[in-house]
Amino acid sequence: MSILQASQKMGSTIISQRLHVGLQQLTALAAVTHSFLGPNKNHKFIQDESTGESSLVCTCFRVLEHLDLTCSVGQLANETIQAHQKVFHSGAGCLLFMAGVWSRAALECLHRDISIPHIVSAMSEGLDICCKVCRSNSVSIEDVQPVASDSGTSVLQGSPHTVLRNPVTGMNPSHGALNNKKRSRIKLTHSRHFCANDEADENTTPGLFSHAVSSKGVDIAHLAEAVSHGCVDAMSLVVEVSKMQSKNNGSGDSCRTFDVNKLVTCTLPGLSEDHSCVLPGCVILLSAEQASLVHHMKEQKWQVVLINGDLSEKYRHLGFNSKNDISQVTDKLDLKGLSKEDDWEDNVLTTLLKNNVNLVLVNGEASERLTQHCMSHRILVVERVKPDILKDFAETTGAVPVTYATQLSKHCVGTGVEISIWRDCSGNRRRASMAVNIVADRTALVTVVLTTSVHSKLQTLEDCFWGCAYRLHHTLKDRKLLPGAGKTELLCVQILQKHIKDNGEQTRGKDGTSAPQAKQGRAGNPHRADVFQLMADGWMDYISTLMLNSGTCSKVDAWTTINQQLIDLNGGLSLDANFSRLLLRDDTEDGMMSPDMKRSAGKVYDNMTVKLEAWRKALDLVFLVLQTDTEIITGIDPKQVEGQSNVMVL
Amino acid sequence: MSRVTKKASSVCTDSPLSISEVCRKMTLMRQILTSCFGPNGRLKQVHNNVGGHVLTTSTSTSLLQAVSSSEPLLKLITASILNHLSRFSDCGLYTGILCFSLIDHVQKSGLRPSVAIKINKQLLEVCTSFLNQEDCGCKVNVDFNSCQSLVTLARSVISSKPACVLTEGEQQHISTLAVHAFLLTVPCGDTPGSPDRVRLGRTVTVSIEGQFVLDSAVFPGLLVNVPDMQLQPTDSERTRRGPGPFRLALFTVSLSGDLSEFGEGSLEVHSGAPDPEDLILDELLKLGEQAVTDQVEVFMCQRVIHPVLQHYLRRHGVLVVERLGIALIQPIVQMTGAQAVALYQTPIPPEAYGQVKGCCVRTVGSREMLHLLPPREPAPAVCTMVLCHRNDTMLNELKAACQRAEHVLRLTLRDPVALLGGGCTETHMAAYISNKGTTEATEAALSLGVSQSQYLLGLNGFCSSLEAVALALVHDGETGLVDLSYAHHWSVPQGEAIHSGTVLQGEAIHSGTVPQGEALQRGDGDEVPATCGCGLVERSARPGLEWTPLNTRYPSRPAPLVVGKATPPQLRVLDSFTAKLNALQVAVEMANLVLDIRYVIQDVN
Repeated sequence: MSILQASQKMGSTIISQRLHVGLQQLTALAAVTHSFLGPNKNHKFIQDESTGESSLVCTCFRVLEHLDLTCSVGQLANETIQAHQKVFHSGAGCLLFMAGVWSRAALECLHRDISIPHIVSAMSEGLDICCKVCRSNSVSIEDVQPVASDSGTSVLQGSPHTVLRNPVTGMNPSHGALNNKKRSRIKLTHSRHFCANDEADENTTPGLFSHAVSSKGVDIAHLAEAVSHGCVDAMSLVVEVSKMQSKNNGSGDSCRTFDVNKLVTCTLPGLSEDHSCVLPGCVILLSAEQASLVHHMKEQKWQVVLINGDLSEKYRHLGFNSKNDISQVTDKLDLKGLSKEDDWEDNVLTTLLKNNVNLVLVNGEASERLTQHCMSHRILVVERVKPDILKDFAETTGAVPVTYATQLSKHCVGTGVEISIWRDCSGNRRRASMAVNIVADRTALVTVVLTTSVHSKLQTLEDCFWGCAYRLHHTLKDRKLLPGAGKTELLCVQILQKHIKDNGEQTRGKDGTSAPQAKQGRAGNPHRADVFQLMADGWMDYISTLMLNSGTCSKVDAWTTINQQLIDLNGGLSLDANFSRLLLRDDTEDGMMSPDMKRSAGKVYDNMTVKLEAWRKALDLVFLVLQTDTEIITGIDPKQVEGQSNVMVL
Repeated sequence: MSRVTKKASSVCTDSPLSISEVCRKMTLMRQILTSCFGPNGRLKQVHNNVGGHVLTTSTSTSLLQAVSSSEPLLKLITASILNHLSRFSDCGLYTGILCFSLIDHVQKSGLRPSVAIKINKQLLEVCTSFLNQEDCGCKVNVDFNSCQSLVTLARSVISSKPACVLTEGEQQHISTLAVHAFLLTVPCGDTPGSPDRVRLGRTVTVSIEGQFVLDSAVFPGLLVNVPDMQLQPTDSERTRRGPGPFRLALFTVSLSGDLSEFGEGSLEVHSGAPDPEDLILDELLKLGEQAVTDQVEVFMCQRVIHPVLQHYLRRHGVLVVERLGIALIQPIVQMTGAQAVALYQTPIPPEAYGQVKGCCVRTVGSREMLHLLPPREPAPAVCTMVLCHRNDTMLNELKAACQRAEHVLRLTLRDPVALLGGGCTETHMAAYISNKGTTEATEAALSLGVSQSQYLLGLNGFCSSLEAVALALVHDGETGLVDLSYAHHWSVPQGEAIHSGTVLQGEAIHSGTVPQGEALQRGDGDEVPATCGCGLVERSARPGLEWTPLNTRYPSRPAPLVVGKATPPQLRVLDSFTAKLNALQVAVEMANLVLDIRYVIQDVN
């Protein structure tokens, strides 16, 4: 890659040799997160030299968040990872790992003098082939059995051969049908006269407030176990959530539904980790004074109002430009001594009392004086309530959120809220010391309280929990899972090797002129086999890193094991049932895994959409970097770069 | 504190093109543009030196706007390319490459600038009249009876930008969407009031990051972003209620109830007098009352609406949307027929109300948006294109490409023709000009007042520049060929020629002065691809084709044949006729202008 600089006034340009620094940078960046792969994660400390602050991380996207990414490739990677995290909340580690290994593969291709279009076309073809096969080898969630059986291995045993029998078309019938359906719809909507009026209601309002994914006859608890990926504690909390939501839903005690949007977390440092639990409604920390009020409020239904913004006289809504220079002119002395704020307070208090309000939930901050006043009238004011919670209360209690307390009227008041003290958290010298549980009638909202005695672990715990929650969410949404613990990657390696072999045979017996034209484009890529091999090595690297991180063997041993597996697979033997167990040996032998869990340790699954999309994004990233030949830096004084050999000024 | 410094006198540069530093910068710029060109082009990462946002692109608009040079001549050329792009959106890199190439060739040929300018002008005329000929060999008619050529046009634009990172299926999907959006913006029948005039609608693009490309879609009407908290239960009731049309009011003035519009200066309020904020709120509520009595069902504002007013309106079943942003105002006006009201102190004039046929909440990707349906035909059609992509960089590039495609499609309404893509137009035109120029050299030289050898030198430079554009499509050690019968462009992948050795010898390609007999070879192996760059000439259908490397000099060439279009094969790449014609003119005129510059005078203060 060459670097080139240009500036507004006095442009400057840098050009270095074609070293493809970008690909190397990407590989290096990805290597940072290698230890996060697999169920046994190693934490990392990130320390800021300048401020002396440090943080404990164990997920890929948190690492990138904390790094000061000055290089442009780093920024690009970070952008991709954050975008993925925002949508899927899982799979970022896989994304960066694959980006790293595939950029190394691309670099190796360049060293072998393979041209960039060839690399790009072969790599995207390779990924397409693998994605198709992975889709057709996915396991429906109904088939994920609770008891460890052979079904997981049989997936690998049978299907690849049937699929690979037709390597060129390679199309799974059901997938093809799906595609056709999509295409034909496009054609129909093509003309304005077929336009979308009739489908306008297709994905519109009714589902507006409900995102629950129901499991339709499968037991969520077993699915959760299959995608827990070693986070047993966090996943059991998720299962608890599902149980509670199912109960609220009227499905009884079983786990039948899971709605990740009706879920909030509340972190409490100071308590040990086994105090983590799941509660209906929301949990809020209050001062001892306020909490004493709650003692009187037990076991009754109360009325609630919701304030969107701060509860103070000075507060104005967003977009309101306050004028500072308004002065009051008066011709007589104000003897009553009432300030504007007093007026406002009286006004608010009267409104609240008139409407029999007992609880005020405020999104922003509440004025201290008003809070005190309210307390003496037995009205509880809670500040800094998360918007998600407010939204749920608006839906379940019928309260209409308002911006100003003075706006309140009868129809804004919601009903049916219960308040109870959950536990005393005092003793750690913080102002808020009582955890209070507030529940509205018929709410689906569930709060997970995460506790730890190590303060710096809170973030990690929370990330881990949300990772589990979203893995389950995607499982239910996809209704399909991929065999986990490296089996899917192994399948990809096998498919690519099969294609390499077929390709070799094809070239040997090739009759150029008679080849159909459609095929010629593909067969026309002379380096396809090389690129496929390097790509497959990337996946091998993934599996071996998984094995390494599980502490079962060294990387070299891992490669040997995997290669042996591949030979067995190609020889028609079934996948060694112990193989996946190798990956998952619990290091803490008598750790927290129950015997039942140990038995099913071989049955690990991954989310299909998340994984395939992460691969695709990883490859995108590699392509963007691979195809970049120049870095242009603007706004540089040419004098700064004078004398640098790899710099050119524009 | 200011300091008085002596004013530096202006710097005058004599014959800037003779200065090596200027030439080096021009070569560099030319390299940058050339390496960006085509579907296999290279990307550029642009960022500032303080760690700002990184732009990854190969699109001329983004690139030229981000990069600027210190060299006045380069600034001049950049500005003219950007000006061309603002009018036609397409062919920016083409203009740049051709312009730099022309300048370069004139400098190398040793022709006096004045002579070269005359010749370039004359040849430009020949080119334009050639392209405008009815039977021009590089032109195809755009058939509006089928979408095929429109989709090909759109796909050529979209696939030419590798930073979009699309698979073939995704490219097809996006190109189809672009055509769909374009068709939606063409109104049915005449615009009322002016029967002979058609007013095109517009496409509003909404981009969503992190979603699947195949989730991209086109909707008639407008999608409006509504913050989550604003979608209250009352709204969902409203959106579910039966079919419209609904009456709509649209405000551009801020209804936040603040005093900002009174401007600067302090305000004195007599104690006991009502609070000015309350007074304004009263005004706003009066406005709300009027809206409710006038049965307005959708109330929209470009900026903020006071929460109390929102509350009041919602209580009366009105759908309230605030903070639309300025970009949506014009499309809403166009679609609903509403007039944007910029005042809240007076009642809303009845003619300011617009109409929508309905509205519903639509989930696109991860976002919930309010979908406003257009009221009726044949109002100018407004549609929304939702573009999804996996990351921001690729999304931005895709958005730019789609907007370019839309513009290119619109240009076909004026001139329903397209040019062959893939470099074939350039090679074909070069062959035509070369032949015509050579045969009519005597008369042309005479009429221009130059010698015949000068004319031939200029002609050669011009043709080579055209071919240089086709050659710019070729990267990665590929070889660019031209066939001798139809003069279409063929590119041979790297390695192929070396392996078989049947096409052309390496030395022959580079020296460029080898005798004809050696340079021409019959390519009968697999090395030459099955079709030419645009896909019109198929090798299997035309046996006996001969090829020669691009940019080699031959004393004379036969006029290229026009491919019979009785059964036209599937064309792969099409370019915009209008945009390219203008780009050609801009490039030649800019090159002439730059060649003509004698002094550059710079104010260095």
